[in-house]
Order: sequence, then structure tokens, then C-alpha cells
Amino acid sequence: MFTNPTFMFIQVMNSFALGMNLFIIAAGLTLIFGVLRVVNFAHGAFYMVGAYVLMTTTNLIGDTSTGFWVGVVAAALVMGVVAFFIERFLLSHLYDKEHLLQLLFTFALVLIFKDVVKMVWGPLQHSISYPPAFKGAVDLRISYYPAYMLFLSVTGPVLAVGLWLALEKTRWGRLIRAARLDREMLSALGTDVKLVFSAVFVFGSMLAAMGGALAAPRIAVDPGMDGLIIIDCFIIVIIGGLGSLWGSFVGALILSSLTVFGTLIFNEWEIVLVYIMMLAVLLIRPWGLFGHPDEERH
Amino acid sequence: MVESFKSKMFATSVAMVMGAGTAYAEQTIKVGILMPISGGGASYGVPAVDGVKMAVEEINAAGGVDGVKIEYFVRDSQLKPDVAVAAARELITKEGVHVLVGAVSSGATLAISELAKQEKIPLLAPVAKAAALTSTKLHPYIFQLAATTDSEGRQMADALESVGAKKICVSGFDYAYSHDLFASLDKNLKSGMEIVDTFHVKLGTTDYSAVISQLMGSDCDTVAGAVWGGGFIAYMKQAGPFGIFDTKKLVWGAEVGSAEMASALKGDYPENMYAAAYDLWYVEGSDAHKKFLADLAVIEGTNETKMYPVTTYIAIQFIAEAVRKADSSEPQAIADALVGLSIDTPLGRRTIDPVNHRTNTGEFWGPMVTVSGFEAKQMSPAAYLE
Repeated sequence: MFTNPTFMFIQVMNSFALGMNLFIIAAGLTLIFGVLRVVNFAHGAFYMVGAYVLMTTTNLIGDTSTGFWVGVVAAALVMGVVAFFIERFLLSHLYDKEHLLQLLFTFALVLIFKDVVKMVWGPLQHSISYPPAFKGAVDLRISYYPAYMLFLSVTGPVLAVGLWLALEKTRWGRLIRAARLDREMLSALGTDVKLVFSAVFVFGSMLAAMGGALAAPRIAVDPGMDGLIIIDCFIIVIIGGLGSLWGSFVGALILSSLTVFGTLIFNEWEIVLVYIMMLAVLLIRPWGLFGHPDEERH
Repeated sequence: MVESFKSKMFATSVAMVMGAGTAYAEQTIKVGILMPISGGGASYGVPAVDGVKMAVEEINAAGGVDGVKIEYFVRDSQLKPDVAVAAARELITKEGVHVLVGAVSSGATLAISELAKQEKIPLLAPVAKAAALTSTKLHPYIFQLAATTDSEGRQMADALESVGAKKICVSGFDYAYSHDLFASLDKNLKSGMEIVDTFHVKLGTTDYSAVISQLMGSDCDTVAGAVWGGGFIAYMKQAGPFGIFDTKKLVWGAEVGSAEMASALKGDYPENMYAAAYDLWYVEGSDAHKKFLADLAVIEGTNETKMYPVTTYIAIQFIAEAVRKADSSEPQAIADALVGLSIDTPLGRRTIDPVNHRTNTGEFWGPMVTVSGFEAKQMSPAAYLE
């Protein structure tokens, strides 16, 4: 199998597509940590809400392309509004408190969202159809490959470059980077730091929900779907470096490659490989592959 | 504390007349229910609790068991052995339950079973299928009402014969259930069949692309699967675009033929996949089955009822009959009475084997096909195999 170029090509494509799906979700987590210094355990719950909002939208509009894309946007918007209220009225009161309180708060959000999801959408598992345009497979000459996986493979890099440009080239990007480096100085210079924090939390949460919506057609939508993804997200940001956008990008690709090729080569050890990798990074570069030593101190 | 119900009722009446008033709790048969009612397991646990509710309400409305009402206490076992054991311990020590029913996953049920053995409290396992529960880990207080991997492997071999399988790939989660099931399948393979490849994935994974690519590359003509729950949904969703349903036949255990799974996947459910289910709302059964489905439809608010309620409904039926037979709700008496007990259930007569504490639980098997007027595929024809 491993000498078959078509087979290996498909595995590389699988790794990349899975990695990009993970990156879209983890990018929000790393962005929030980078600016707010809050480790958001509820990021997985926000991802879950995104999938459920997409489901409701497609149920209302239909399993059409319109239904799907409106649903993805609705997922991000709904989560954005909810995140705004969470940040403004609850989380913002904890910025000056010890980290433990922030952790407990986001963990409480996980439990609340789990129950709310079960109350609103019920306990059963659901499935969301692929958007019609991405339902089948595409002929790549070497092999046919699922169109939706290709879509994810393109979306990830586009989002990464878009975020990078936004952070590097726009006024808001400069404010966000400044807030990361020295929030007191930024505030002293007259910037409304609270607004920057609020915007980052809302945008990071919207990314989680959008990631959940985009992942939904490939998986089961159920009230436990947040549990696994939050572990994956933390692995990604630990490997890549907390707060680093490109770290998340590379971390996601490392995790997906270990998952796909680990399953093929070291099936019984696949689950351990990821943690060995994470341990190695923590021992050699505790601040992650793309992180900065300063991040470790926070 | 062995006492007959009549004497217990009398003692209680006297106590109440004398103003003691504390003996009320002793008037009920206390059943502890351990089911995952949060997280991903809730899709099994919540319907399973419906079955308990329905059975208890029916029995109590008819006057209880020889006049004694059943009281049940639900605790969330999640899908975690440690959580399940802590909840079971709390049910035994705090609520003083006489008997336990649960859980869903084999891992959690094996863990509770050890506690049941220590505490000498009977445990009825309506869903967990690992053969170890009633083979290597058998003890006087465990009763496995679910089909076992031994029987499922036998049924799967029959199903594989029905689809004309010759070269078989097996694929499941990499843990006890799949290993036991495929070992049983291997033992029961018909002449001319062979397992040519095994592709397992870690339990709880959400990405199946690597395994699907391996399946595509294998020369097997049929895939025998055992990935369940949300994993099955993801597996099918990810396999579809690779065109695997066009090139290989599928035979799948783990009760993925249930109406709820078909409803979840709708058009993405593979046409003609041979699957299994404990119960199907659209199968014409006995009068008892029709009555059961009609009553369940009231509780669930739909005629398209779920599969798991029947499993716990039968568990409560067994408990009621054991108490009736023992004339006691004392745990040891219930455990003794369950050995060899036979009852009529909505799915026919069930007997607990006096030696291995298993029941003759069968499952519906058949191809899942599109039925006019329904969005979800249905099993047709559905054959009940024991």
C-alpha cells in the first residue's frame, strides 16, 4: 500500500484537509489566548453550537447550497452575539482575577452549553448533508477525491493568509498586536482596550462556530461533540505555540498527519504518538514551535 | 433483612398508625438506573430512561408488584467507568437501591459489575454486549439482558451469507467489543468466507479517512463493521464521497439499523446495507409488541419510536417478576430469583440462562432500503435472529 503513489497521495490530501479543518477551529482559541490571556475551555462548546445552528438553518431552508452557506454564516453570527454578551457581562469582570477563576468560568460555560444544547436540540445524534456543490468527488487525474475535503483544503490556507493580513496590515490588527504586547500602554495611549478584548473574543468564538459548521457534514452532530475537539485544539496550540497563528496552522498539520499516518503505520500506537509529540515539544520548547518564550510566563 | 411483602406491608401500616412515619421508604422496590444522560451517550441513555419510566408507570398503575410500588433513581453514568461506579456507589449507599440497571458502554458496565459483586446487589445489563461480562467476569449478581458479542457474531455470519460475501474486511473501534465480535464472527464464518483484512480505529475518533482509503485499496468484496453511534454516522458520511458503497457490500452490527440512526443519516444511509436493531417501530409484531409501541409513542410523542426503550422496559419487567417470585425486594432474593427466570416481553419470551446469566435476546437483521413516503431508510425485510 505504501509504495502505491495514488494511495499515498490520498493520505497526504487527507492529512491536509483534516489539518485545515482543525486549524479553522483552533485559530480562534489561539487568538483569544494571545490577546486576552484566557484559556477558553468553552471553545469546543462554541464549535458545537456552530454545528447545531447550521443544522437548524438547513432544516428551515432545506438541504440546499443556500441553506448550507446561510447556515455557516448564521452559526458564526449567532455565536458572535452570544460571545459578546458572555465577554461583556461576565468574562470581562475576571480579567484582573487569578487565572484559576477564568478557567473555572470557561469550564462552567462548557457545562451550561452542554445542557442548553440538549434542551434546545435534544440528546439524539444528527447528520448534516454536504452542500450539493461539494457532495461528490473531483477527478484530480491521479485519483478521485471528495470535493468537500478539497474545499476544506482551500478554505484553511485562505483563512490563514486572511487572518495574517488582517493582523499585520490593518489598524485593528495593529491594535490587537499592541494589546498582546502591552495592554496598559495601549490603554494609556487612548485606545479602548475593553473594546479590543471584546472584539477578539467575539471573533475567536465566531471562528469556533464556523469551524463547527464546516466540520459538521463529515461527522455526527451530538451533545458530546465538544469534548474531543477541545482536546485536539489544545494539542494544536501547545505544539504550535499559544497565541501564534502560524503555530496553530503547523500544529494542526502535525496533529492531522500523526492521526492519518499514525493510523496507517502504527495503528495501535496512534493515540500515543500525538501525546509523545506534545511531550517532546513541551520538554524542548515549552513555548511551542512558533510561540515566544514570553508567552510561557503568562 | 429478608422479609415478605405481606409482613413488610403490615409492619409499615403499624408504624404509620403509631406515628413513626419513617417506614414509607421501605414500601417501594428501589431501582437504580445508570445511563449516560449527558454528552454523546445521551442519545442512548435518554431513550433508555423512557423505557424504565414506561414500565414503572405501567406496573405501578396496575397496583405495583403485589401491592408494592417501584421507585427508580436515575444517575448519569456518562460513558465513563469511573463516573458510572461513583454513581452506582451513591445509589447503593445513599438511596439504598435493591437492584441496578445499566449501563450503555461495556467498559462502564464491567466496572459497575465489579461493584455489584462486592456489594451483592443484582445488576441487569440491558445494553452492554461484551461477552466478558458473563464469561470471564461472571458472578452471581450480573445478568446480561443484551445480545452478546457471541450471538451477534453468529448473526453477522448469517447476514454475510445472505449478501453473498466471500472476502471480508472487518472494521471497528479498537477495543473489547469489536475484538470479541470479530472473534465470534471468525468462529462462525460459513464455508467459502474468509476475513482478509482488519481495519480498526481508535474509540471515539471522528476522522475515518485513513481507514476508508485502506478499505478502498483492499480486495475484499464486503465490509463487516462494528463502529457505532456518532462514529458510524461519521464513517458513512466520509466513506460516501470515496464511492465505497458502489464497490463493496456492507454488513454492520452494533444496532446501526435503528430507526434513529436511519433518521439521522437520511439519504446518506447506504442503500441495501445489511444492519441490525433491537427493535423497529415499523415491524409488525405480536399484540404485546403493538401495545408496547403504541404506549411508547405516547411517551415519545411520535409513532416513529426509538430502539433503546425496549431494552430497559424488559429489564424492569424482569425485576418485577423476580420480586414477585421471591416475594421480597431484598437484593439477594432478587438475584436468586432472576436465575433461570422466564418472562413474556414485547419481543417474545425471554429466559435468563441459569448457568451464564445471559438471555436469548435476538436482533432484527436485514437490508436498509428506501421506502416510499419516508425520508429515513427502513429495514426490509427484517428477520428476527437469535
